[in-house]
Amino acid sequence: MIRAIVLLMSLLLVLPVKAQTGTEISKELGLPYWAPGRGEVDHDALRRRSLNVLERQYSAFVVASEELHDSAIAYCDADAPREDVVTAFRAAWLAWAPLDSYQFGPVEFNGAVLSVNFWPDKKNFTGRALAGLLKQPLQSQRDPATIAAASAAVQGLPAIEMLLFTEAPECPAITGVSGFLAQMAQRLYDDWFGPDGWADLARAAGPDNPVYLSAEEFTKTLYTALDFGLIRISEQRLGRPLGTFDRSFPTRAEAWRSGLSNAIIGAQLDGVAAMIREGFAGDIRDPDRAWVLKVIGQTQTRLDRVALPISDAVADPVSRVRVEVLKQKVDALRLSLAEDIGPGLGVDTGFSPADGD
Amino acid sequence: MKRTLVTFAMTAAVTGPALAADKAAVTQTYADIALAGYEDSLTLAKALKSAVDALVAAPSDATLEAAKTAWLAARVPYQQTEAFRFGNPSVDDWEGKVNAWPLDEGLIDYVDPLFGGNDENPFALANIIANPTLELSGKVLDATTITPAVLQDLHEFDGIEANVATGYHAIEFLLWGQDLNGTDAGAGNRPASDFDVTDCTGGHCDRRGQYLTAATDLLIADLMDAVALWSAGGQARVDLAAGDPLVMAFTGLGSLSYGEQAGERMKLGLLLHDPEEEHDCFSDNTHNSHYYDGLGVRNVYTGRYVRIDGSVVEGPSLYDFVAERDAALADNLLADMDRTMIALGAIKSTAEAGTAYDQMLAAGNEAGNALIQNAIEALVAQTRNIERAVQVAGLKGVTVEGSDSLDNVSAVFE
Repeated sequence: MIRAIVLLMSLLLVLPVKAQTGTEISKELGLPYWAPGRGEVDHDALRRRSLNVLERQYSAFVVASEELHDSAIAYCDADAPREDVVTAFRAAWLAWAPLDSYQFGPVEFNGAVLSVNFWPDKKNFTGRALAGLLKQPLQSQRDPATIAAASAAVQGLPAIEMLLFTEAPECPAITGVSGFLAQMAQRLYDDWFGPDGWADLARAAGPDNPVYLSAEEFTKTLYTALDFGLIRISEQRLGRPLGTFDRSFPTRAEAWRSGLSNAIIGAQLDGVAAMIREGFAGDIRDPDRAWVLKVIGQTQTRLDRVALPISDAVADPVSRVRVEVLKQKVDALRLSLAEDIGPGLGVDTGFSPADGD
Repeated sequence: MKRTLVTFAMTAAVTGPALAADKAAVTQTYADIALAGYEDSLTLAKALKSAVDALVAAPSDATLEAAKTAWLAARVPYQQTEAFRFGNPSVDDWEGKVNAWPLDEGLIDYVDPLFGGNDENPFALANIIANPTLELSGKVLDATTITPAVLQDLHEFDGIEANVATGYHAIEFLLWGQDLNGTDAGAGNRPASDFDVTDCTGGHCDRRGQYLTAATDLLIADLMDAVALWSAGGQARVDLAAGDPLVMAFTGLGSLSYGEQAGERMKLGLLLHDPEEEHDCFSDNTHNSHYYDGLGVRNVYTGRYVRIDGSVVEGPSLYDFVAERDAALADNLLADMDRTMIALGAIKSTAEAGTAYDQMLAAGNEAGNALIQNAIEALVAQTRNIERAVQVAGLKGVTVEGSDSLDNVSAVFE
C-alpha cells in the first residue's frame, strides 16, 4: 500500500511529461525510455551507460588531481597564490567524492580507498605518519616515490589537508603528496578504462569471466555500490560526528579542517543521482526513477538547510537536529533504492566494505 | 556497521523432489557448531582464569608463560566462532564485549606515550591502573577497586570505540604489554614483576593483578552469555527460526570474509605498514587469529567443526544445500575456501618459522606483503561466490515475488 502511494506520488510528479511510449527518446541520453512489455532489464545497455558515467567521473578526478599537483608546485616553487592550491584541493576532493561509493575493482586492488582518502582515521595515523614524513630531507618530501613507499595515511587528501590547515610546514610536502595522488588517479583511470581494464572485464561478463558471471552481476555490483555510498554518508559522514545528544564528536566530521564536509556529501549524492539518471536510466521505469531522483533532491535540500559545517552543527543543539533530519533522509533514500531501484533491476545488494565494523 | 541482506527478488522457480539437505537440518548443524564453539571458548577461558590466578598469586616467568599459553589456546576456538558474528544480530550486539579491537591500551595501563597516544581520544593515556578515578564532564568513574562492573563502565568510555577495557585484547595487553618493536622482530615483553606486589615494576602491581583477574572473570561471564544464546531456546536460535537462517548464515560468512577480515583487519594494516593495525598486536598471534577466522568460515560452510578435545560436530551443511541446487557453485565456493586456507596457512607457517605478522606487513618487505595480499585476494574471491550462494540460499522453492513494477504495471496502482 505504501508502495502504491509512493508510486502514485511519483507519477504525479512527472505528470507534465507526456505518458511515455516505446518510441519516446530521452533527449538527455538519446536512448529510449522504458519499453513497455519488454519485461526485462537490458543489463548490457545499462553497463554501457554506467561505464560512461564512471569514465567521466574517473577522468574528472585525474584532471583535478593533476591541477592540484600543478598548483602545489606553483605555490611552493614559484610563489603562486596559496588560494589557488586551496581551490584546487577543494576541486580534487569533490571530484573524488562520487567515486567513494565504488570500492571495488581497481580501487580495491590498488588500495585507493585508503590512500586517496584515509578516513575515518580512528587513531591519528595521518598525524603520526606525517610527522615521520616531515622528518625526511626536503628533497625526499617532494618526491612522489617517497610517498608511494610510505603509509597510506600520508598518501592522499587528508594528509594534504593537514598540511594546508594546520601549523605543519606545507612545502614541499604538498607537492610530493599531490604528485603521488595524481599518479594514483591516473592509475585508477588506466586500470579501469585502459586496455584489458576493469571496464573490459565487465564488458566480457559471462560464464568464464573470473569476476562477473553475467552482465547482471555487474549491475548488482553497481547497485550495491550506491547503497554502500549512502551507508558511508549516513553512518560515517553524519553518524560518527553526531555521536549522541550528550556527546557529539565535531572533529570526527570528514575534512572538518578545510570545511569541506558538507560539500563532499553533496558531491557524493550528485554522483548517486548521476548513476541512476544516466547509468540505470531507462532500465528503471520512469515513475520509480523520477521518484528516487526526487528523494535525492530532497536530501540535497536537507543538506543545504544544515547551513553550518557538519562539525559545528553537531555540537549546536538547534543545528544538530537538522543534521539528524538529514541522516534520516539519507536512510529513507536507502529505503527508496531498496524499494524502487533494486526490484526494478532485479538485483539485491551484495557484500560491501560496510559489512565489517 | 552491519546489515542483513534481504532476500533476492527472484525471477526463477524451483521445483523438484524433496531434498536431503533440508533447511531445518542445515540450520540445526549451523547452530550446533556455534554452541560447541562457544562452549569450547568458555572451557578454555576458565583454564585461562586458573592460569591468571596462579600468576597473580605467585608472579614468576613460569606462571606468566603459563598464562600466555592459556590465552593463546583460548583464542583457537574463539576465533572460529567469528563466522557466527555478522549474520546473527544477538551475537553482533554481544561481540564487542569480548573481542573489541583496536584499542588505545593507554586507557588501561602504562604505555610508551610515543606509541600509545591518540589525539582523537582524550582517554588514550588515562591509565586506570595508576589512576583509581576517571572524570568525564563532572561525573566520576570510581575504580578504587577494579571489578568486572567497573570494567563494563569503562568499556567504550565516552562513546569512543578505542576505549576497550574488556575482552581478549585487554587481557592480551596485560599479559604481554606493548610491542615496542614496531615492524622488527619481537612481541610485547612485560616482566612478571609487573604483577609482583612485593617487588613491583611498572607501579600499582596490586591493581594490575586486580584488573587482569576482573577482566578474565568478565570474559567467562560474557562467554556464558554466548553459550546461552545458542543453547536450546536461546535468542540466537529463536532469531534463526524467525528469519531466513541460511541467508543469515551466508551473510555472516561474507561479511567476515570481506568487510572485516580482508578489509579492516588485513588491507588496512598492509597499506599503513603499521603494526598498530595488527589484530593481536601485543602477543604477535595475528597469524593464528586470521587463520582460525578463515577456518571458522570453512567449518560453517562444510558443517563440520573439530572441537578442542578432537571430537567432531557435523551434519547436513550449507555446502550440501547449495550443492543440491547448484553443484558447480557449491564446489567453486569450497575450492575458494580451500585456497583461502592455503593462503592463510602460508602466513601462519611463516610466522611460526620466525617471521611475525608485524614483520610481514613492514614497508619494503615485498615477500611478506605479498603473503598478506594473497590472502586478501583469496578472501575477496570467496566473497563473490558467497554472494551467489546467498541467492541460492534465498530461493523460496516456488515462484517468487517478482517486481510489481516490472511484471504488472497496473498492479502497483491497485
